[in-house]
Amino acid sequence: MNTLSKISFVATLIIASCLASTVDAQTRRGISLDALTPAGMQRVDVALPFHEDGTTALGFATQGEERPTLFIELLVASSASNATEAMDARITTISGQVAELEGIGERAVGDAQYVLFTRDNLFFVVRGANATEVSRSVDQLAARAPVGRPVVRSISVARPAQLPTGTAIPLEVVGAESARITADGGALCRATRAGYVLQRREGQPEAYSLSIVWVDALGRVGRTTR
Amino acid sequence: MRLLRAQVCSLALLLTVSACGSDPGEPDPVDLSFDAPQAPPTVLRPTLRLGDATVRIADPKLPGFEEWALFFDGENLASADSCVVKIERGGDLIRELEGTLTATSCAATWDGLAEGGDYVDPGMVDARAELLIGTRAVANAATTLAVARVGVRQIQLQALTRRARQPLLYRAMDGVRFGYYEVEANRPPWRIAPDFAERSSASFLDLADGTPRDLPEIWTDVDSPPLDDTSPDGAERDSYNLPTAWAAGSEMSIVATFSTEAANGATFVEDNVELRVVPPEGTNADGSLEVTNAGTVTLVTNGSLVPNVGRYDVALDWRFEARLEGGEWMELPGSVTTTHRFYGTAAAPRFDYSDSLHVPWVDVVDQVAQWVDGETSDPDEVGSMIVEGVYFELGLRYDRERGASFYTSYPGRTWEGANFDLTRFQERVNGDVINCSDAASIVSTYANMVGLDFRYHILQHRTERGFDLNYLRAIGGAEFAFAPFTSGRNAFSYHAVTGPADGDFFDATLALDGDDDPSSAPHELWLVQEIPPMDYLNALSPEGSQIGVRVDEQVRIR
Repeated sequence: MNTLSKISFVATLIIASCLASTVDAQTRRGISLDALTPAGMQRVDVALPFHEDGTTALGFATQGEERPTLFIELLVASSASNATEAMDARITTISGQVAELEGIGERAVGDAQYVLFTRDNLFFVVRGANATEVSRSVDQLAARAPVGRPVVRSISVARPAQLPTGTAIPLEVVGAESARITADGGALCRATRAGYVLQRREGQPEAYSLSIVWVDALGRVGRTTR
Repeated sequence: MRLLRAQVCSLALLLTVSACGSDPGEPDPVDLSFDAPQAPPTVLRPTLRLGDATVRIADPKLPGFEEWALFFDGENLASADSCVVKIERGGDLIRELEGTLTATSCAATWDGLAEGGDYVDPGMVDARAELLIGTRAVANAATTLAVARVGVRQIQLQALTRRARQPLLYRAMDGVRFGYYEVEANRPPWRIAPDFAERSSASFLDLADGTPRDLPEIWTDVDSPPLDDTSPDGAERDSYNLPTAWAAGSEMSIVATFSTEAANGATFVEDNVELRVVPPEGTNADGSLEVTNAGTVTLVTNGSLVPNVGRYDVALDWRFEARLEGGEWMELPGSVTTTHRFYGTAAAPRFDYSDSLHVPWVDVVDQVAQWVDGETSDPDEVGSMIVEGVYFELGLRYDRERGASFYTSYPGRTWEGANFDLTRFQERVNGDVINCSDAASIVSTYANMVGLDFRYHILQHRTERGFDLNYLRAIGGAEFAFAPFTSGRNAFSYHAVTGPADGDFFDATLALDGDDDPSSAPHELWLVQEIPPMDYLNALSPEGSQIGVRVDEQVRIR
């Protein structure tokens, strides 16, 4: 190889390395939940995670139906390595085996009805009849998702000033696409057709706390305790 | 002088008569005799008096009251044409009843209603029987009657031992997911009262028009409590009849609150009338049995109404007695029957978590109660029945494609801290396909809610990434298979089971081959109910001795 070729080769390596670094460092701020809705379907359920680095599960039903038949779970992790870790942890809970899949995300395993994959700091699980096809569509969306640190904004939840016995007090949550509120101690939180309400638990100590988990429009999950 | 003249005239008249009416020759003798008038016949006067069989006090609105029997005994009644009984209050006629007249009595029945068909307000009335000849009253008798109003307005059930009665949680109030509603262990489960929309003239026992209020039937919806838009918390708080949960064998204290108030505020309170309740069968008095308006009577059960794990619908028949003016106690016709649903659990719920969702859920307790059906309260037997119920009766199927979990999640990779989305599982939101983690969560959660301390355990090969399997029949499967997966894979990377800490295994994910050789046909269905760990592992896998058991925790309910 002559000198010019060597220089070109080295330059190519350097450029490739820089590009790789740029790709490794690329994180997504999130992904639009609305954009994840497949054509002809509607989102009918949002299941928020129960633990850190758990996925938010979106349930979709055919237009006009209520029971979901397609689920897209997602985790907007803080980094690509965390997304990979979450995927590996999820795989350990599968008592059978899942095969590697090509052409979906940066790494994908699964089968025609159950796919796990990552794209940057995004981890997805797609469950349903046409999971591989849906996964490819989701992956394309993920690849176009806005770049940046996934920072979830805080929400507003006001504890009621008083909580009389036998009365349900409305609890307003502002700023979340969907939220789950759990009360511990002397109160019980309940979802109603008009939103969340809080009710004192009779016979329990007065003190109570609220644990709130929410997801925003870009799939980022926040947690707080009030 | 006048007397002398009269004598002379009489003599003259006599002589004249004698001269006119006879043979002029010889005067006829004057017959001075005459027929004496007959004595009038002897007439016996009819009489009436109150009969012993007369009911002196009754509540015409009590179920089972048919009619008010009024008897008046009498003598010499044959001369009378008819009799009537008049019900009056303060001199005003309330009702006139046609009586049945016999030679010895006048009897009538009264339905407790006034002439226009309305119920009579509680209080004293006069009942007066009249014997009539034509329209003329020839005899009468009267007595006072007590028109009572009495009933049960609330029943509180209290445990005689600590934590014997448990709270119950409805998971979907008004059909809304996460619509958790708790019925506390100290809430009276039975009550009647006017609804918010009723007029002020209604009472606990009566509607505004005086009609007796219907007693609430047992509430059988296992997802939601009864609703009331006007209630501060959206649940019916006026008239309701909610199930309660009890540790099997519990005896209970029944505190009944009574009412003697009818519609329009008319209350039965009479100084000369005492009321008391007759303890329903199976109960004994714990104190006075006196019934007063808004007063309470405490009873204790004679033995347990909830002997085992099961669902018991119990009827309590409330009868009342009264006595007038210190006389003999008389039973009021009719009675009030209240019905109650009791769930029996093996013990108080066993949870390692104390948040608001870790109380017994109505739909779960109801399901387990039906599976056990009163057969036992032994924890292992109850646990076995839960396994059988989950395996056969919930319509679940094993994920034969890959064995993935749909309702259970673990934080990280350590298997500790499992979360079980019971809310979504009860609705089958994610379908009815599950894996072992889900089955362990279902069985252990159901068990925890009825007092069994079941925990989940993770089985893994000590050194390899999976372990081979013997023949087994996965949940929802019709046959034994060498490979539970459609791929033909004959191994688990891990498996989850449940059971008491360091105790036998319970597993609804699969049934083992219970014959001497689980590695080949034929097969004998062996449900995993109270199987010692090594027996289980050796039947599950040819590598049973290489499988380690890790984790000993309860799943967290979400």
